[in-house]
Amino acid sequence: MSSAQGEENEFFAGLSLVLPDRELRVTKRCLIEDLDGAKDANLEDVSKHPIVRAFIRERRDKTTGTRTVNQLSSGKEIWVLAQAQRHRGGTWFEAKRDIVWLVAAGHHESGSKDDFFPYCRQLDREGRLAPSKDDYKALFLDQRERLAARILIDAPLLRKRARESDSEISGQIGGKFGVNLAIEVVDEIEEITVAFDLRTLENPRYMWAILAALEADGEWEPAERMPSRSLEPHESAFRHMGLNE
Amino acid sequence: MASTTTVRISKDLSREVAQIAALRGQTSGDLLAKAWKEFLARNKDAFAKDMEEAAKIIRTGTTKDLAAFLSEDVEAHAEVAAEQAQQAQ
Repeated sequence: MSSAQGEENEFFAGLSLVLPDRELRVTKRCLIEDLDGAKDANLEDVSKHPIVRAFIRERRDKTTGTRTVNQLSSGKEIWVLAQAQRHRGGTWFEAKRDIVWLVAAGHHESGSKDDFFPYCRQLDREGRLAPSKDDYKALFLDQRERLAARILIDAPLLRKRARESDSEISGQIGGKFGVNLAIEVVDEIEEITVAFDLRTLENPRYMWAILAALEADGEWEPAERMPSRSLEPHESAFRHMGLNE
Repeated sequence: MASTTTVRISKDLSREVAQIAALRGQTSGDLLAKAWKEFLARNKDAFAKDMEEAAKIIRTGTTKDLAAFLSEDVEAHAEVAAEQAQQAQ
């Protein structure tokens, strides 16, 4: 994918730049203390800052750099960003969540008491370098809001596809939750059967929200099988019967 | 025809599941599927209430309401994630 095509699929959302396969996100502490952002600022507000420009440019395609901040007491791998002669930043790649965090920014001036590298070590000793509980809370709330929006868009589209198909269809909701859907119509009765891939779900509430977005009226009940096959061990299925409109 | 799949769980849990499955003459997959069904059955009332709430939000609520419905576990998850981030290399 070319850079231009990639950029069409990315957008700023709160403290993140959301890319197709990962997020670039700044910690609140770094935003306020290092980048002089306002308390309610977002990443886009500080996107002209030299180190944020370097962050977006350098970590868009690569999660790491070429050198790390050494002698951190936590042993964390903080990758150095450099912009011009003096601007420096530190990024941490959280592989589990596919997030590159911008955790610190400053100026490099060897011997200076404000030099970026000892500053990073001090933050690390104080436990203020890594993302905090508030950072994660804000991250999860942002992600849930995006998921809610995607459920409301993806579920009706999936249902439309299933109606137009003669057989079971596979799809994803919110870009990551695997769902199989089959719709059978007999006379005036429409039966929807949905199988969730439990390996992709993190919370049962995601299932209830997806089922409700597929059909909010009437009752969903557990199903033992899909219309044309038995369930895989990693699947859980539900069935809904209603009038065909 | 039955097909197979790989379910990703921790090694410790995988070992325990395999041991219990062997004792019962079943496969790990069979046991996990059964455990999920039992989990659904045991929490049937709570899930029915959640489902009703989700349906009500879809009928009359907003995207923000749905996001709030999906976010009930955020506080606890944030605490765990922050602890893990402190310890991570």
